[in-house]
Order: sequence, then structure tokens, then C-alpha cells
Amino acid sequence: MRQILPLLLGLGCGRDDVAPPKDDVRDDSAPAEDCDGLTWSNDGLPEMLTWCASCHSSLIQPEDRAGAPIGVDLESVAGVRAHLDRVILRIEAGDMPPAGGVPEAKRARLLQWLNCGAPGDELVWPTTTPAEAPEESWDQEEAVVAGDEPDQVVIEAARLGWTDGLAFTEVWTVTPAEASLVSREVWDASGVWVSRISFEPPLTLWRADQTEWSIVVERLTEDVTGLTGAEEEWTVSLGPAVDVDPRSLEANPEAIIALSSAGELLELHLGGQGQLIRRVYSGPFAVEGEELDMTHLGNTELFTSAPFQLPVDLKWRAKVMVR
Amino acid sequence: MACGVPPAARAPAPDAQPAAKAPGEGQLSATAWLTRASLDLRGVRPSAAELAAVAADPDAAEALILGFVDDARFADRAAWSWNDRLHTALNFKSTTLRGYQELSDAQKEAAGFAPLAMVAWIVAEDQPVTALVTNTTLPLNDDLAAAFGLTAPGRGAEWVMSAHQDARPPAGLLASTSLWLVVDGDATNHNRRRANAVSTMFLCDDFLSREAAFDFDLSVEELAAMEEAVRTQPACLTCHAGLDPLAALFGGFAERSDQAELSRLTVYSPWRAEWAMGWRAPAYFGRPVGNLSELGATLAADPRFGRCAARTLAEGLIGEPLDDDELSPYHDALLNGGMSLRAVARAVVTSERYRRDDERALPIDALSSSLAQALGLSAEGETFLSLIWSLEHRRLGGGGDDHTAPDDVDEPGVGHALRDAWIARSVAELALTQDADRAPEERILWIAGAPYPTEEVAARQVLVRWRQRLLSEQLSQSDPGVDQLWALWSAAGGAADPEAAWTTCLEALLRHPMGRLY
Repeated sequence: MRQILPLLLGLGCGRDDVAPPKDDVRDDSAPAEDCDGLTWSNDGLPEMLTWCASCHSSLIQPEDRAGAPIGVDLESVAGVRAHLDRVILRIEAGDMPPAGGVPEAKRARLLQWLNCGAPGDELVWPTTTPAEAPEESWDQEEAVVAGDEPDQVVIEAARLGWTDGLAFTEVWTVTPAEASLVSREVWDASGVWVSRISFEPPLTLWRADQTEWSIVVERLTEDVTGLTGAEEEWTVSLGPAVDVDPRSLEANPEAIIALSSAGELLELHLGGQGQLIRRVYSGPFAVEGEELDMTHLGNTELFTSAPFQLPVDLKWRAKVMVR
Repeated sequence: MACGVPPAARAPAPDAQPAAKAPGEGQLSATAWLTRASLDLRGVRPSAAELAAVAADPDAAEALILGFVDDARFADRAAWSWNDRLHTALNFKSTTLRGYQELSDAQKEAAGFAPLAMVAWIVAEDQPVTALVTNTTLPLNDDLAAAFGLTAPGRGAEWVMSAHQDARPPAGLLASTSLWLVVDGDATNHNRRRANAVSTMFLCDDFLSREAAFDFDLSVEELAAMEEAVRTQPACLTCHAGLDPLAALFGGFAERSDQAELSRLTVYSPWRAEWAMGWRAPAYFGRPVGNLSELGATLAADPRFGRCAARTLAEGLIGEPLDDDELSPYHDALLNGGMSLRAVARAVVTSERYRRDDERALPIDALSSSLAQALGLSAEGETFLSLIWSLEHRRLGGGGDDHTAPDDVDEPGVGHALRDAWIARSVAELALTQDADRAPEERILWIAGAPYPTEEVAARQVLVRWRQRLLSEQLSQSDPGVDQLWALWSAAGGAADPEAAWTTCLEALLRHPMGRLY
């Protein structure tokens, strides 16, 4: 076998520095009989799928390649042959896949197949249709805003698509200075009661005080409530405690979604015993007012302790639509 | 369906060569081979006539064994064998989630067996094994329907292949409620556990067994940082680049819950499925897939799927892990046989590897069915159902619970002895009295003449029959093994108390270690 230098060739997840292909490094001394019967389907493809093709694929989006150089695609035998020498180099050098882990017997078998020139015919895969990123669906027609008292707003909205048409009613109190979420009651699509959560003290929004914090409380946007009016900025303080009905959502956790000015998406989920069961937030996300894109969900924390206590020092600024 | 081409020139591993007609060194005799194959493929011991035929002509064994593959009972045996891969059967009895407490034992057993019933159907109908992940229907019976709130087929415990009653995409077991209740998920791990289950169950590749795998018992802070790391760190990407896009396909199934009622956990939500796909673009090892049906079709086309299916059945029959070279001839049999599991079974049970003279512990389902057949008791009777479905009896015999300790322990131990003592006490007297009540020509344990004989010649005839039925032995009346039982019969009451004497003899045979090895 020819001497292999530990070259930093640009093949693989996490590397963008593509070096030019080197000379033929195939093991030309491999006995021809060692190549008899070797095929792509049996000897090449299984290992390529297991260790390489999740990043090195022409079929996935560039952002899903985890840094694998564009054009170095190994999901087909043609692709492997196009980069054969480079593939052999990287596997022999032991730096692909990036964390190693290929059992020695499989690595040897794969190298044998590669050194034989990657023989075999392409496999015919079924036709598939890549999924498109979903869009949240809100039924504006179902939203009803009413209130028996001047300072109280009752929002009834069917948030279609969310857990198969979860419907909810929220009671807010609204004054010139602030708006507070008092309670939320939820039914499923068939009209079965799911949960009731009382916020004590109420989850309060108040007018922006020019702090750096911002928030989008999605339920209060025009899309959801059907409210029209001037756009105003509010700051929300998540109250020190929440009274959660013990029968409430485990299977369909409630979520409070907020977005900070630092670009963090905060999603708080309440569990069945009133505990905070998870908090999900992303890294740099979006500027204020942009539509939430759930595909950017990132960091996750898991909480299992009870009782649930929301952080008292969080302040957020909101854009809400008020009459 | 393109499922890979067997390498024509590849030489099979020596042990996978077809077994020679006459046993070589270290090989089972023809009758022992017949017994092993009968227990593995039919779950019962060979009949006296089959044993006699092979004893007279060892060359007759292979044809008989190949015929066992087409026996209807092989479907159930293959199904139980698959439980070593899926680990669903006992899970609903092992877990203590609130929702499961609402279920009756029959419903828990139906929920656990449902994925295995899919395997049974594939074998019974000789469907290609790819149906495991592509079929448009799934097994349903009345107990499962009651458990999951579905419309029952109305045929009792019988499994009926039924279309889904909600909007889940048809994809064989990939759409199975039972499977994804056993392998549950939560939003924190984004269904990665389910993705790894797909890889483990259908590709025989457990991400957690990779060298790069690490301990997931992390602090909250470490967990928070991990989500970023799995997207960027090379050490993480080795697994997560494949695992995470696969995980994005399983959001439609409910999350784990210690609180929710079962009815909330069995529903499939298309919207949640779609929402989960927004987390990562779903893909199968670099091939974008849009839903579970496409995943199933892609999985079925993957050469690793067929290899894993062949491995699951072959290792189940042989009772030991096989390396890739050992597996190749059985994999080739699958590919050349139109993805038929029966083709794999034929290749396995006629190979030298299978005929190797090593003692194997009888799986509990085969133990149950073989004892039921040998004693003339119903396999569905309370005693034998206890053997199969009772966690306690399984554990005594080293069996796994498909939950905290999923795998069986095959090494005989004290627990096996206790279990066998329980079996002997439970069924010996019952089997003898039931058989005595049958018409003489229908008796199984008693030969012609009155039950509980006290005359030595007749008694020895009975003892020879029992050793044949329970141990697959063909002995003469003067064999030392018969002498021993005759001495025991005399010591245990003999002619003065024949019922006690015969019950003791049967108990002793039921506790014979050779009855558990094959």
C-alpha cells in the first residue's frame, strides 16, 4: 500500500477545506480474485450509507450537509468512483468518519471494495418527495373576541393544526396600562375538555419601557385574534407562580412562546402536575416581528422538578394588536 | 424491488454448507437434528413416526425438516424469534405507566404481540419480508382494538390484517402504535430514540453501540449545550447526522407520559408529524423522505434491511450471533428466494452450522407449546399461558421482560430448576387424569389398556412412550433410562399407590434437564 499522508483533504462532515485530488492511491497490488463478487449493493453501499451519505449526499440541502464539501457526494456508486482516491485516503487515514467508530472488519471490507475500483451497479431507490417545512395554521374565522366588561377581553380561538385542532379560550384583562392573561381553558377537536390553567397572579403585559427586551406573543397577533387596531409594544413579566390544574396537559403540553431581543426563542411547556417539563430555546433567531419559524428550535432544557415556578425576573417586550 | 444482488462468486462459510446426510464430527445425529428443527420450526417435538422413520433412514431427515418450514406453526415460532429484535411482547405487562393500568391482561398481551403478529402473517402468507415496513395493513384483533379504542374486527383473539383507522401513513410496523408506545419519545430527545429503534430493529445497527457513543446521563446545562454540539461537533455528527433526520419522521406519535390516559397516547397526529419535520429536514441516510410510507419504501430497498432480516431469523434459529461471513449464505438465500423468510429458514436448518452438536436452551414459547403437545394439554391453557406471558415465570427461566431487562439469559441456572419444578407440580397430575378420561384410542400418555398400570411390562411400555414424547428418545423397555423410572415408580408407591407412583414418574420426567436442552 502506498504511503498515506495525514492530509487534510476536504472530505467529510465539518470540513470545508477541499484539497485537490491526489494521485491514484488504489492498491493496485490487490489480487484480482479478491475483487470477485464484490458489489456496490453488498459491499459498498451499506457502509457508505451507515458512515458517509448522511452528510455526503447530493440529495439533501447544503445546510444539512454538516460541512461536507459541496460536490463530494457518496450516496451513489458513481459519486464514490468520482472521488475514489480521496475516499480511500480519508478512510485509511482514519479521519473519516470524523469520530471514527467503524469496526475494523467493516473498514477492511469497505477498503477492499474501494481498492477494487468500487465495482457494482447502482441501486434503484424508490421515488420520494422531500417534506416541506410546515406552516402554522390558524383559523381566523373561528376566532371570537368578546368581553362582558370594558376591561376584559375573552379570546376564543381554534388553533387549527396544533395538536389536531386544539381549541382554547383565554381570559385577558386589558387596561390602558397593561394586559394580563388570567386563565386558559383548552378543548380538543372533538370538544372534549383538556385542561384549564389559571395564572395567579395573571401573566401581565405592560407597555414597553424601552428596555432591550422584546417578545412576540403569537396568540395576540392579528392572525389569531382577529383584532384590528394599532400596533403597540408591551413588555411581559412572567409571574412568580402559576396555578395549574393537575388534570392538565401531559400529552398536549401547553406552550408559552416568547422571543427575546437577543434572538432567543423561549418555549415553556407545562406538565400534568404543574411542573415545567421542558424549556426550549434557540440561539440567534430573528428580528422582532418576524414570523416564528419553528425549524430553528435549538437548545433544550428538561425540567422535572415540581412545583412549577416561572422565573420572576424575566421581562419581555411584546408586539400586540389592541383595539 | 431492488434489494441487492448476492455475490455469485462468494464462497459460503464452511459451516453454512448444506449438512451432510450422515453426521460428521461434532454434528447432531439425524434424530437429534430432526428434534431440534421440529422444536425450532413447529414448536413441538417430532412424532414417534417421524423419529422412527429417521432412525431407520437418516437420509429421510432433511426432507422432513424442509417440510417443517411450511408448517403453519412456523409462523408463530418466527414471530417469537423476532421479539429478540423488537422487544414488544412483554413490555405492556412490564411497564407501569398510568395509561397501561387500564388494560386487561389480554389487552396488554395483544398490544405486545401485535408487531410480532405482523411477522407471523408474513411467514404464514410467505410475503416478502419487506412487508414489515411497507405493508398497508397491520394486525388487529378484538383485544387490541379494545385497548386502543379502535373498531374491532369481531373475530375474538384472531389476528386480522386491518387498514389504519386514522390518518397515519401506511408503512408496516413503522406505523404501529404498539411499537411506538414501547419505544416512546419526548420532545427533549426529538424522537431520536425512535430513530435509533428503526436502525436497531430493521438495520441491526444500534447507534448506541458505536464506539463514538457516550453516556446520555447529562446535566441540564450539558443537555442544553448538546443540541448545538450534535449539529457541529464531529464526534457527534458521526451518529447524529444520520440519526436526527430520521428522528424527524416520528413526531406524529405521542410522547411518553406518566400521567396521560392511554387514549391520548394511541392517537396519531398528522399535524404534529408535520411540525416535527420542521425541526430537521427528514431524510434516510442522505435520502430525503417525506413521510413514513416513503421511509418504509426506502428502508425496504436498503441492502442492510434484507441482511438484518436474514440475521434476525438465522440468529434466532441458531441461537448465537453470526459474523458477516457466517450470515452471507442465509442472506443470499433471502435475496434468491424473493425476500422470503421461509427461504432463509430452509438454508439455516439444513446447514452444518445449525446441525452443530451444541446444547441450546429451549425458548420459553417452544417449551410451552412442546409440553402442551406432549402431554395433550391445551397450549392456551392457564398453565402454559403462564409460561409465556407471566413475567415471574419468564424471569425464573432467565427470560427477559422486554423492558428493563429485555434480553433472555440462556445459561441454565437455579431459576430454571425452580420453574421446571413448578411446571412439573402444576401439570403432571392434571395431564394424567385428563388422559385417563379420554377414550382408549385417543389417549396420549396411556397406551392401550387401563390407565395407571401396575404390571411391569405394561408400565415399561408407558415409560418408553413418555421418554419419547417428552425427551424425543427412542428406548427399549430394558434401557437403563427406563430401569431408573421403573425403580422410581416402585419407590414412589408402586402397585400400592399407582396414582402417586405415576404422578411422581411424570414429574421427574418433566424436570429432566434434557427436556430443556435441544
